[in-house]
Amino acid sequence: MTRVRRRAQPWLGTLVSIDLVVEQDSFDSDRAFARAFAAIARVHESMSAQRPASDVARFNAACRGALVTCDPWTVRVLRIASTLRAASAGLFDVTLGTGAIYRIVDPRSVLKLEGKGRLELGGIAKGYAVDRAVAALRAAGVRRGLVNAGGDLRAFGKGAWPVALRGAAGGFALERGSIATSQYLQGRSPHHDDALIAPAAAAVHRTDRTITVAAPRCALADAMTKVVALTDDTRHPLLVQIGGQAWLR
Amino acid sequence: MRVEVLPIILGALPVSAWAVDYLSASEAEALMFPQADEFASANLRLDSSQMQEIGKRAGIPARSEKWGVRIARRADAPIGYVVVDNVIGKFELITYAVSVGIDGAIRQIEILSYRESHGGEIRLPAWRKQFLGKTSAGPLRVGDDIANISGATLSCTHVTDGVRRIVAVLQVAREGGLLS
Repeated sequence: MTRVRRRAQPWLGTLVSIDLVVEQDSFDSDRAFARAFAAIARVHESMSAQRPASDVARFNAACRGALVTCDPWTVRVLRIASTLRAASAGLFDVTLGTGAIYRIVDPRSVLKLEGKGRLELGGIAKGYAVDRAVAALRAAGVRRGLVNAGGDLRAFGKGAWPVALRGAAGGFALERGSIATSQYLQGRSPHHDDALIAPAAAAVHRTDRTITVAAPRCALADAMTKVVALTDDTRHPLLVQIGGQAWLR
Repeated sequence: MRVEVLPIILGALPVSAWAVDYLSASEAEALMFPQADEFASANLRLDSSQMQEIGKRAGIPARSEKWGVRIARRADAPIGYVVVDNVIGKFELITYAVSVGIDGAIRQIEILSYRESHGGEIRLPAWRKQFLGKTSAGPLRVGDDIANISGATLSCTHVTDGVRRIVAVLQVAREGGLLS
């Protein structure tokens, strides 16, 4: 019989919930949950700036010219971030505005180019963690499910999922894709909770607003909320390029 | 990817609260200590100096002098502890369980239930009806149990604070011989 099994744990500073659709009662969902949460934990441990032993914290503490050994997943996220930064003319930036501060040397190490350079992966790591959890669930034999890390979520498998928007009466029906939402409050620059540094040209918005982005992968949906927030452009070329859609409220 | 916007229904009535249950306390303890052959309950009662010590170690007040602890045992020897606790956030009430090994280290944290306490945040019933009308979810009636919410990130600071407090409670209780 088809049924949903769900589990939630606190990670990445928020609640991560996982829903699995199970077709056979004998399916070992505990094992699937354990693998998915292990993937989330791995992202948390390597990319949280608050954890002194994380890749990000060690990079930030390192001096110029240091070779920082990283989890391959961190290097992967930095690669995605570099691509997005170039493609968005610097609007998406994980370096807190400190510029070209890293060079990827190999899949396990990053060279620090600038002593004062700082990384903050808060604007993409949650989405990446969701993507990794989905991959882990699939590898464990799950055909359909949904992973939600504090509002950045991804559905996989056949069938639509209802996704509500906090603070709104409407919502979305989502199949095989991701949705991420960022909220910006009046008078604050759009990066107050994501540590995204806006280029000088970007406006500080004077109204409360919510940006929702749908994209095939959650890391991209997560990252693109910042680009849309800074440009007010729900048809930003980069968004179109990645096959995404955006809504501003 | 397929994403369909479900428009706002005017005049939808807000619901006052909604909840998701993930695990029961007994399911959580079995999951956390699968090797245990028995669980026993201990009702701790802390004195004021113990409460102070907990506040000092956790960096937040001990909150309560009474704590219920489940002791996981295997072959009559304790192998760890499970404590169930509630925390109240800005919008939510979260019940969670934390398991701590005999070495005092946190093993696992599981959310047991999540309740949204503020009304009007999500106008669920009308929205749900609309979803069910628009899609064919198959035999799975996902619309009956909506937990998929995109929006402002919920902080789990209260949970992490609560976990720190529980670790201190267990430490102090063990040192005081309350958990032998």
